[in-house]
Amino acid sequence: MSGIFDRHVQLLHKSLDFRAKRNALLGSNVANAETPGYKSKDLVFENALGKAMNAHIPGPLNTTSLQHFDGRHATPLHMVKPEVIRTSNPVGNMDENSVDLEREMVKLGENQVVYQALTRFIGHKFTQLRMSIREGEV
Amino acid sequence: MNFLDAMAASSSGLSAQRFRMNIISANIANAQTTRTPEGGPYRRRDVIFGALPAPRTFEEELRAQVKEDDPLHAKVLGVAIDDRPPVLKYDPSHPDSNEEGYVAMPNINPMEEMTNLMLASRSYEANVAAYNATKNMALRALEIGRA
Repeated sequence: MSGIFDRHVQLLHKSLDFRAKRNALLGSNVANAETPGYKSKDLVFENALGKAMNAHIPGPLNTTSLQHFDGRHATPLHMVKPEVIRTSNPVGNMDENSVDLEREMVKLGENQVVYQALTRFIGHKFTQLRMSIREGEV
Repeated sequence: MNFLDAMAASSSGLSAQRFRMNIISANIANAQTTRTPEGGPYRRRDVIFGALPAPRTFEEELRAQVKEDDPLHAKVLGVAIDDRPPVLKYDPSHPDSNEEGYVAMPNINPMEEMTNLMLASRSYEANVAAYNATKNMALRALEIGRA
């Protein structure tokens, strides 16, 4: 991304989006904790994100154009999509439902904390930008 | 809108569980009922839950298929009538007793109903917690960019 917003803002934006989406999915797992046959779902993102963060590092092959294949399979940051996975419940319910309520609640809590941390980071980022725009005045 | 979707999913869980609590209460309330509009003793009822995609507008329906990462709502698909036979209780003084003095009583086990009620109430609380998590996240998002 060009301009005054650097890669970190884009990364935080992507992560916030992901956390919000994950929250919706975990919430629907809780809502369907007693629906027979429902399979609990989760979103994973960090793997794809990690790859995307290194996308600007050239791969093992030399290229002379952006369109060339450089031997590294990386998606640019703005294209990264979280992946939906089915989570299993080792204990298992008798009605083919795979929701483990305690685990869902823990995930919800964790997700919420990380989201709050991310909002704080991005807020800090904007405060810094504002400060430099106003030549050091806060 | 992610947050509104999440809140809608949680609220679907809340109403489904509340509906279930109503049915369980009716089962307990009618544990001794021997006369019903359909005739015979009261028969135990059970709710059937299903996971359905969020209701959509006609336009959205035309445009999209259900995506895998869309939250599914918990919905009450119907109420099933338990086909356990009524319990025969010997009580010749009862107005609904038959010639041999037996009354057909609803086959309701209070222990079973109370356990289900407890489960419903815990699920309800879990949905409240999930809703609050979503609300807190949305409020935090509003704080972004505020000095």
